[in-house]
Amino acid sequence: MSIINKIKPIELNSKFTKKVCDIGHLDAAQLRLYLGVTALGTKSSIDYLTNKKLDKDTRKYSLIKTIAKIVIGTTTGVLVRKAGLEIGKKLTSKACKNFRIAVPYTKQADKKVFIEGVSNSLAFVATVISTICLDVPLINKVLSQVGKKPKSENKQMDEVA
Amino acid sequence: MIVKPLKNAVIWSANIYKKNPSRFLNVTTAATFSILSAGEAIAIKNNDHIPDEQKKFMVPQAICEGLINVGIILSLSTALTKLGSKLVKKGRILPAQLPDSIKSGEKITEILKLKDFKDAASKNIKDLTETSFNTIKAFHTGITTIAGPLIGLFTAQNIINPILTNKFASWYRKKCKEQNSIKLARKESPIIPALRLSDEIKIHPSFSSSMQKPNPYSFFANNSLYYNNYMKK
Repeated sequence: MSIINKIKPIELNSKFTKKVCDIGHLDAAQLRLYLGVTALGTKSSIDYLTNKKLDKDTRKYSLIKTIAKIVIGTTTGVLVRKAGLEIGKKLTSKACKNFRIAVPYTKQADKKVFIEGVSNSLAFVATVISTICLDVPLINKVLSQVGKKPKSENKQMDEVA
Repeated sequence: MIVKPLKNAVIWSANIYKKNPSRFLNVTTAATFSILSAGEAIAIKNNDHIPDEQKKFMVPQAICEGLINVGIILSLSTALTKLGSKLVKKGRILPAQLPDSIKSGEKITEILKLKDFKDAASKNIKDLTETSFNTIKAFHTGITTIAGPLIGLFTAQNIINPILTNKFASWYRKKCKEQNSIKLARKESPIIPALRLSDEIKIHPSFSSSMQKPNPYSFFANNSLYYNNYMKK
């Protein structure tokens, strides 16, 4: 706490303040896209550079698995979250008749955050379902395709195992 | 019949989000990544196309990734969210457009505690307009989102997690290799023939169906004979 008190106050101009305020409305799909794009650079390079002691095959498999996971996970993750967000917005709108979720707030700011909450909750459910039904089988398929080509260098160890 | 409980679950979840949006995003992101890692570990384990040697690295890598995700994401990201909130509440990061009389930690903390601008009238805060009130609220949410989900999740998931995961998986694989080396040494060692023979001991088919087990000492005689012959050479 004392460290925070020692920090000199920083005042952001109106342009930066507006940007900071806009980031506050970041939804699950935008966050997933941001994490996926940055992961492609950082995670894959860390995966390849920190495993120097491993044999070439294992490093290759690990790198392919990481890239496949990021690309598939980000693509399906963003699309599914977007769909969840859209469904959430529609369910809370007055146009929806059968499955409408009534907003229990009167204040405009509260209404907005609640609708965001419904959208993000539905996006989460959609993401869990798509992860199990879509992402894992897809990643597995990519790894199977790659697995058909190279052979383990250390055959002796495989025999023992 | 199913619709009502589902609706209630969504409303309950939306209210949790409303209380703390950045924490909701942290928890759901950690949960989805962990589910993905668990599914991935099961898929790799059951994939016949991946050699066993690679599986020994990739399965623990995936499991560790899922476990670390929950731990690090929740701890680091939550800590950074709180830090961001403190920075605004203490008046260390502020929008320049606010009136000077409001630019203090105490005033901002007081304003952030208010639910609505109408409540500000009772507090009698000088120079506070509705625009300033909304700016402070939105600015606080923005800073906590930058600190928690943007910086926290990025650092935890994309930097710390892969480093720790790879270290654990390499250690686990090395351990497996050492165990395999012992097996290999026992199988092919010319120095300890007794050990080498002991690996070749198999239960006779006549014993397998009954409860009787072979006396392990009965093999001792053979091994001793072999050992004596070997030493004579």
